[in-house]
This record gives sequence, structure tokens and C-alpha cells, in this order.
Amino acid sequence: MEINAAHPLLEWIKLTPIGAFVRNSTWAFPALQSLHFIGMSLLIGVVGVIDLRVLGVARGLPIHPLHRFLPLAFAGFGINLLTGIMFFCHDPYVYAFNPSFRIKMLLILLAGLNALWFRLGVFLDVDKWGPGIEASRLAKIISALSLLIWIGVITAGRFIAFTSAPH
Amino acid sequence: MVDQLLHALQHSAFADWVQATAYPAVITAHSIGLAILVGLLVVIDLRVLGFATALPLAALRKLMTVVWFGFWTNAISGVMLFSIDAKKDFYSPLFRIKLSAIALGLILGTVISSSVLQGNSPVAGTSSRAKVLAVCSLTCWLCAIVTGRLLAYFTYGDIGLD
Repeated sequence: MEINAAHPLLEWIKLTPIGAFVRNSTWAFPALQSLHFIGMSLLIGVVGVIDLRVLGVARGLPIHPLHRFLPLAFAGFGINLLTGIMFFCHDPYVYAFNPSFRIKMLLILLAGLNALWFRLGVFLDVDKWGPGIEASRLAKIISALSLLIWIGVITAGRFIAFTSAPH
Repeated sequence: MVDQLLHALQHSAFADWVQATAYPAVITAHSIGLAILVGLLVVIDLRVLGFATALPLAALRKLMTVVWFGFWTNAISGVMLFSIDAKKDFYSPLFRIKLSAIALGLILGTVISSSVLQGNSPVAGTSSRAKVLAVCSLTCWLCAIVTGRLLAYFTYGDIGLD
């Protein structure tokens, strides 16, 4: 196991009580997986409805009140960050060198920056987009990117199981 | 008779193709469909329960087209996944609970869509009957996700349900 000696940080992460707990329990991994999918549904559901409305689906919805659901999206993200950290601790070597995992993390970062762009670039206009009113072109571009990136996050996440690290 | 059908399906060229070639794409589609189907229904159910009451209920109904798109994505990918593990799935209580929860969830979604998501008043409350339907709907989808996930890790014998 020369790889272990070469990665003291990963070895340390693996030996944390969290890592040991997830590895040694029959139920922990499936239960955390369930939570990870529940978190995904909350996060993508809220973001998806906002993006779809901006793009013109269900145009009768005013956009501003949709943001009331944002705490739910953050809750979903929080659940998935925590359960994701626990997956990582369970076996850091599975994830750290996995190209799909790295792409997934990069895409989540991109999704965050994209959401920030929405917040800084078009959020001030959101009040104007009441029932039936079309969102701006820029908002539509950001929302379309958002949907594509989140679909990419799910895809990369599933592909962690089908890719392994190049040696 | 049923066993023969399950056996035939599981050893069909179709099942072989799913297992050897399509599996990563199919399981990915199943996850994306789940996020669309459950994600949008959660938002609708929470609006019915009193979140963001400024949203007109009738306008939310337009989202049901997308919800059904998510459902059909998962029905098709689900049949493909079933073909690989037909016998194990068919006899698994987890699988049966999952399908029952989905069936009930779809009925509740249809009832909510046709009887609650109407009326154009910008701020509308919902009846306590509607709220009960929404809570039941959320429970069904929670149940479908959990049993679906557990199905990937346990066969029916492993968790003492058989």
C-alpha cells in the first residue's frame, strides 16, 4: 500500500471516526445515500423551478416569491455537503483520484458561480418579472446554464461508480 | 409461470445489452428523472402547505408537464433496470413498497393538480384537505427514494423482511 504512505492527508481522513463509522456500519452507507438523493431532490427541485420559470415554463408564476424556496435549496445543499463528506471519509482513495468526482466538484463550483452571477447580474430585475412577464435574455442564458450544469453534476456523480483513477 | 417470465426477461438479449452497454446512461437518466419528478412535486406540495403563498396555484399546474416528463424518463429507465435484476426485484418487499409509493404518489399528484391547483387569485390559501393530500404526497416520494436507494444495497433476504 505505497499509495497510503504517499498520502498522509487521505490516510488521516480515512482514519477519522466518521470514516470508520461509515465503513463499519451496514446501514450507514445506504442511509446516507438515501439522504443524498433527498438533498438532491430539494436542491434541484427549487433551482429547477426557478430556472424553468425564467426560461418561460409556467410563465404565470411571479419570479420573486419563488425565492422564498431558496432556504430549502440551501438545506438540500447542506445535507448533500455533509453526506458527501461522509462518503469521502469512508474511503478517500475512491474519490480523490476519480476523474468523475473531480469533474463533479468542479461543476458544483461552476453552479455556485453561475448562481452568484444571477444574484449580482439580474436579481435586481426579478421584482419586475411578475406573472406572465418574460425574463431578460441574460437571465435566460444564466438559467439555461444552471440547468445544464446541475444535470452535469448528477451525471458526474453517477459516473463515480463507473470510472477509476488512472494509475 | 411468473418465474419463467422473470427468468426469460433477465436472460434476454435486451437485459444483456442494458447490463453490458447502457447501464451507466440508464442509471444516470433514472437519477435525473428523480430530481425532476420529486423536486418539482416537493415545490408544489410545499406551496399547497403554505410556503410562498404569493405564487398563484393555477400557474404551478403548468409544471405538471415537466413532472410527467420526469416520470416517463424513470418509467422507461426503470423497466430497463428491472430487466437486469427481474427476479430479485420482483420478490423484494423494498421494490414492492417503492412501486406502491410511486403509484399512490402519482394518484395524489393528479388529484392535487386537478382539484387544488386552480383559481387565479394571486394569493390563495388551501383547504386542510389539500394540505393532507400534500403531506401524503411528500411522504410517498420520501418513501420511494429511500426504498429505491436501499434496493441497491440490500436484497430482500438481507434486512430480515423476508
